[in-house]
Amino acid sequence: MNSEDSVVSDSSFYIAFLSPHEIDDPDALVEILKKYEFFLGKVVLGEISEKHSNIVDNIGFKNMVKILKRYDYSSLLSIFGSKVFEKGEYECMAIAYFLYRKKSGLHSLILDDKSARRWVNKNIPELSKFVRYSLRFLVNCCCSDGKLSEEKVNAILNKVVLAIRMGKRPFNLTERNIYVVDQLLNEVDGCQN
Amino acid sequence: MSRTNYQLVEDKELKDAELLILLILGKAGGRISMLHLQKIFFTLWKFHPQVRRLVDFVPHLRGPYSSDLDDIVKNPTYVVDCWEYIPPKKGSEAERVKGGYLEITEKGEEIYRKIVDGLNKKARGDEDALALISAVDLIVSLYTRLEWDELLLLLYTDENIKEYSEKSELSRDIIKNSGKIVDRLIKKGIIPEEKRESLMKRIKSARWIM
Repeated sequence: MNSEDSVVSDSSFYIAFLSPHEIDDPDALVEILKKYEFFLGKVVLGEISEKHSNIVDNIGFKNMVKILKRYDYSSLLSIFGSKVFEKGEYECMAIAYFLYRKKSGLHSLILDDKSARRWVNKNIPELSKFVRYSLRFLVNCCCSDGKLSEEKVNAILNKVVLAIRMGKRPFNLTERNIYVVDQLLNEVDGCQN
Repeated sequence: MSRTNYQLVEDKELKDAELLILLILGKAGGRISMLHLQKIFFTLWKFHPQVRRLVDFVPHLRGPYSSDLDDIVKNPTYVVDCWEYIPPKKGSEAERVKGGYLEITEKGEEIYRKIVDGLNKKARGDEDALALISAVDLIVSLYTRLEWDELLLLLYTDENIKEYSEKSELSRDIIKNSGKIVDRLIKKGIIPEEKRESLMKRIKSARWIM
């Protein structure tokens, strides 16, 4: 792993893999966590642990990610984000900026909320090119980085479709987003990795 | 620790506080209101354990306030002749609230550039330095886009720091004008249009300033 593999994500990405109410595939998450260096702040860790502490312990989650405890990243954008965005969202924006400033440290900032993404584009434009939807990140893991196999990403995307059809909302997606997942499945089929 | 060592630590902390003021001032383009400086310093104080050692903040009439910082700005010991303090003009409410301005001098600009170079070099191997310069880069440009009443509205209604806003003298006026202030924040892109309701709800639920 090199310094350009640093990833920051809000809690929805992790929870989608861990929750039985979403895609329920902790093994896939473990595989992804081994390929990149994921950075988390106290808030996101708390959001994940709150409902999934058992599975977090079982898979050794805390040993596979870098938890940033020394600084209170959520305080930096709190006046803008409090009750406007999720606390974990504005915490990870600040962490992503820190990694960006570290020079070629940031690979992706995973955010699924459209308003949060727009806010970053407007107010922290330096981060724009790193902002990804969860599923775009997964497809890039395969098609751009060659770190996940086509079969693995296809399996995850198919689980997403299945979960949506069962009325679940993995990565905050609903029935009307299924066409996007279908497009991504095609993209993975056509990519060379 | 001996008395002499305590003195050395205090001297270093005072110098660091003055250098941080200059860093914020330089990043702000060479001119910043005292109100903005106090609130930016407060945010860095919440964020970074080393900044926390430099000064104290207490709840005050305009939210979080540090008398140490006020004193350092007006009577610098180590970083001298690097800025000029311009007291507020009489007669204007907005100018009174802003508490005057700091303006960087030619010498200040020169030292600012040296601080940035030094910190950037130090940041390559020192996480504390990297965290500090990243945080300054991130928030100074955001905070200085805010007018004084926009800054106070966002600050007073932030639940995460409510204990610092309970004594605020201006909260009633700010809340009264919140509709117009929110319009401006949306126009600037500081708050997304689709989050107007969320912000209005946050303002209404900020009981600690009512």
